[in-house]
Parts: sequence; structure tokens; C-alpha cells
Amino acid sequence: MPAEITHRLTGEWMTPRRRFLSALYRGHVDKIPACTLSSVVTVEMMDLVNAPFPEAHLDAELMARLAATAHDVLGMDTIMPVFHSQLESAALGGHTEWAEKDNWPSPSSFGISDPSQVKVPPDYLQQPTMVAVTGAIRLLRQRYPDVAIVGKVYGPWSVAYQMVGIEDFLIEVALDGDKVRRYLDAFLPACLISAQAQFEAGADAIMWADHTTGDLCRAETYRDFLLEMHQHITQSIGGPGIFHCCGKTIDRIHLFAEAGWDAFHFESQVDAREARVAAGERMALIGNLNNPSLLYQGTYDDVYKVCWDLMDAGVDGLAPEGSVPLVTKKEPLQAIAAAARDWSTLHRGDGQFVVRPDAAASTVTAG
Amino acid sequence: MADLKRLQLAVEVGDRETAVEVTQQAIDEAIPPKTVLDAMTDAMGVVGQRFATNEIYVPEMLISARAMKAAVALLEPLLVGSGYVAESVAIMGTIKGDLHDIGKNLVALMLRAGGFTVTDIGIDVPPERFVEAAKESDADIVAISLLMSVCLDEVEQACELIRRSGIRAKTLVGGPPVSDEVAAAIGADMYGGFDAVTALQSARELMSRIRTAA
Repeated sequence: MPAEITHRLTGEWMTPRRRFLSALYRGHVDKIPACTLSSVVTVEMMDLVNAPFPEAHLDAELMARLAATAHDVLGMDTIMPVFHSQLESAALGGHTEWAEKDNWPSPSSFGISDPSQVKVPPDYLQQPTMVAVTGAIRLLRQRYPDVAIVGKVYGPWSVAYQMVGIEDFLIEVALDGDKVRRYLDAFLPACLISAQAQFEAGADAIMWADHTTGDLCRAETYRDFLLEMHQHITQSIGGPGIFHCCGKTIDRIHLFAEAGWDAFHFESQVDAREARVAAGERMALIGNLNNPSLLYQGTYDDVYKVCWDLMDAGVDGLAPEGSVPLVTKKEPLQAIAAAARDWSTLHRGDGQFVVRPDAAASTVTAG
Repeated sequence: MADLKRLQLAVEVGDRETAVEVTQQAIDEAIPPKTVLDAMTDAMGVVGQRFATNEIYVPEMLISARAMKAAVALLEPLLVGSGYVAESVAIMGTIKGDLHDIGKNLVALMLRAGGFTVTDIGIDVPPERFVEAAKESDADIVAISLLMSVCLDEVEQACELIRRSGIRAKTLVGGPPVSDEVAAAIGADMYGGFDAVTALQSARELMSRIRTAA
């Protein structure tokens, strides 16, 4: 006769780190995690911890301090310290304009016109962007042992956008598929080194971005140029992988799942219920709070309500869809963790674990 | 004899070499430049419709735009010489903080094909520069592009500056972060739509409103 259970774990009994990692694999969670997979830092947070842009992009201590506001101020279960998109391209020698406190860095020129020009320097990991990010991850790992630390990598397609130029690269997609493949093969090693370095520094997961969005190209473009490469990547990066692709992606989510990504970070152009069906059981979904009209212009209550809708739709984690505008107020962002807490309390059927909703139950569209 | 149907098809499929060849032939045969331009405009209309229905995507649209641009470059001196004047004037730029130009370039192309004179003031454009450029060109429309929602506050500033400056230009804002609601909230006169084809439709509607109000 099994012994009677006299003490049970109930309520919010998981650490944020454990909760997030379990959610990535669609495992049992005590609460739906509130996540930062893209930048949620704002000018307000920079002032709060005295860690402004642009210095925070290249200083590990400032980067770590600013990134930690996601957990300390906003109550998120994750911390993601990479605020910009130039981690790999800058380390490869791409020119970057680091901008000001209230603005974002961006590539300032495109130096690549042929795959043969792409060279990963021997001191790639000693480049300032790499040193800052791996250093920040190490600091965060030490200071926040129970919070999930998420790294970020721009994959070869997205690095090509930055170093070749979006327009020039997409013209090659139309005219010279072989050249596109050679570009991807040339950039891939730099992306994999970045991912592995961030895992070694202590990251729990990597968000990998390759922007083959439906706003730019057809689903077959992802299938023909990236699917097989991504199947290799998901087996090689050394830890959990979350794929990010902006914009309209409903027609290719099943391909992302086939690539072996553990989770997909998706945007508000995609209906969460339709995404749940497309992803099936094998890929977690994290998202997809709208930035411009909800987080930037909405209220705490607006965000809170949409979060409930998303959890009803079956998302495995709540997150803003992309980097939030730098002047977004903290109150709407704080609603995310609050909604996750309250919804999960209501849906914690046995007191221990959240019961996943039926994805077909409701017709409310999120975002 | 220059085959303008062949020119039209070349632009539709992005065959730059054929587009340039037929255009040069048309010039050599003294076919009115506006007639040649109209053939390419019709071609971009077809391309636009295919793009709007997801028959083609941005890569295919870019090579069509590239073909037309190369052909129009041959025509431009003749168009100016013939006294051709576009109906409306637009200023186009990507807002400060955003270096993406792909949407802007596609919209500029569609606006030109649709009869607008377009001055492209580039990327990472500060709000006050939109006002200056609109004054310089006596623009009817200031079209502001952005890809990143993080730049919305700059667009809002630009719309405010344009409104307060007293110039007659109306603001048209477009890009993935924008919608009718967002455009209204940030003070733009009109949302430019979700792609280059709807941007041209929106610009024409805005011009219609301007003329009605005048």
C-alpha cells in the first residue's frame, strides 16, 4: 500500500528557471512563465539602475544590471541581456552605429557583396560585443541562480540582412539561390560559435532569429534554404533553442517545428489559437503581445486582459512580440507577470500544476 | 519596332536586361517617353496585384523594381524635356532610428509608377528633416516609413512637427508596426496600408481628400 502523502508542493513552488525550462518542453508548470526573449529595457529602466544606452551594449556590468530589471522590476521569469541585433555582425567586422540613449544600434554600412568575403576572425569571441554579452551572462548566472537566463543569436539569414543588406540579399534570393546558400554556409559558423559561447557562459536557452517572415518571403523560402540547416543547428547549439521570426508566419510554423526548435517566439500578426494548432504538441509557443498598440499605447488593464486571452489560447509562455519601444511605461509591462500569476492560480487544478486549456475552446483573437 | 508588351513582361518578371534593351529601342524609335513609362507603370500594377495576393513576395517585387528603375533611368532626361509633370509630390523617408529602406523603396517605386514625383530623403531621418524637405519641395504628402515599433515615438514627433509647422503637406505613415488605429493615435493623417500597393491606394485617397478640401 503506497504511503499517504502528507506534504504537497502547491502554489508557486517552482523557481523561475525551472518553470521556464519546463515550459520550453511543454512540461508541467506551476505558473505560465512571463518571459523576455526580446529586449524589454526602456529609458525608464536605464535611469532606474544607471545603465544607459549606448554604454550598456558594450559593458558587461551595465548590460547585466539593465537586463536584470526584467526580473527585479517587471517580475519576469527570464532575463535576456542582448538588447541589440548586432552581436554577430559587429564581431564579424560589420560597421555598427551604436546610437544614443533613446535609440537603437544599427548597421551603418553593408560591406559584403560575395560569400567569399565572409571571414570569422580568430579573435571572434574577444570582440567587444561578444565579450560584453558572455560577460553579462556570467554575471547574471552568478547573481540570479534561480532565474532563467536567455541568450540571443542572429542566425545566418538575419546576419546576411545586416552585412549584405536586406534588399541586395533578397534580390539574390530571387536570382541566385546558390549564392544565397553560400552566404548561409559562410555566416553559420559565427552564429554557432556565438550560441555555444553563451551556453558556456551560463545561458539556459538561446533565442535564435532568422527573419524569413511572410512579410518578406514565401514559406517555401524557409523550407528550401533554412529547414535542413536549422535541423542541423537544433542538434548542434548545445542546449534549448527558441526560434524567433517576425511578422506573418502561420504558414510556416509547422516547418519550424519540423526543424526541431523547442519553442517558437511569435508576433501578434499570428493568431495564437491557429499557432497552437500549427505547432502541435512538439513545439512550445511563447508570445505574442503586440508592441505598438498594446504595450506602448495600452494600459495595464489592456495588457492584463490580452494576457488572459493568450493563456486561454494555449501559449506556453507570455512575452512581448519583439523589442519594446524605449519609451514604453513599466506599468503595462508589469501586467504580464501579474496576469500569469492570476490566471495560473485559477487554472492550477490540483494546486500543483497548471491545466492546459483546450486550444479550440475559444474564438478570441489575441494581440 | 520596340515591343512595349515585351517591355511590360520584362518588368513583370524582373528581366532588367530586356527592359533596358526595349526601352533603348523605344527611345531610338522616338516613341513618346510617357507612352513607354505607361507600359512600365501598367507592369508594376500587375506586379503590385500579384504581391497583394501573395502570388509573389518581396524578392520578386524587388527584381521587377530593379528592372523598371534601370529602364526609367534611360527615360528620365526625355521625360523632363517633354514637359511631363507628375500630378502630385511626395517626400519619403524612413524615420530616425530605423535603417530599413526596403519598404520605403518599394512604396517610392509604386508612387512614381502611380504618377507621383517622389523625393526620397533616405533612412534614419530626424523628424525636423521631414518638415524641411516638405517645404523645399512644396510637397502634398510626407510619407514616413518604419519597420521597428521602437521608433513610433519619433514618427509621432514628426507628425506633430509637420502639423505645427503650418505647411500644407499631409502625413502618410506605413510599416509593419502601423495600423489605422496606431496612425490615428500618433497623429498621422492616414495609414499607408500594409504593402506598397495599398500605399499607392492610400496616397491617392489622401490626395483626393486634399483636393476636396481645397
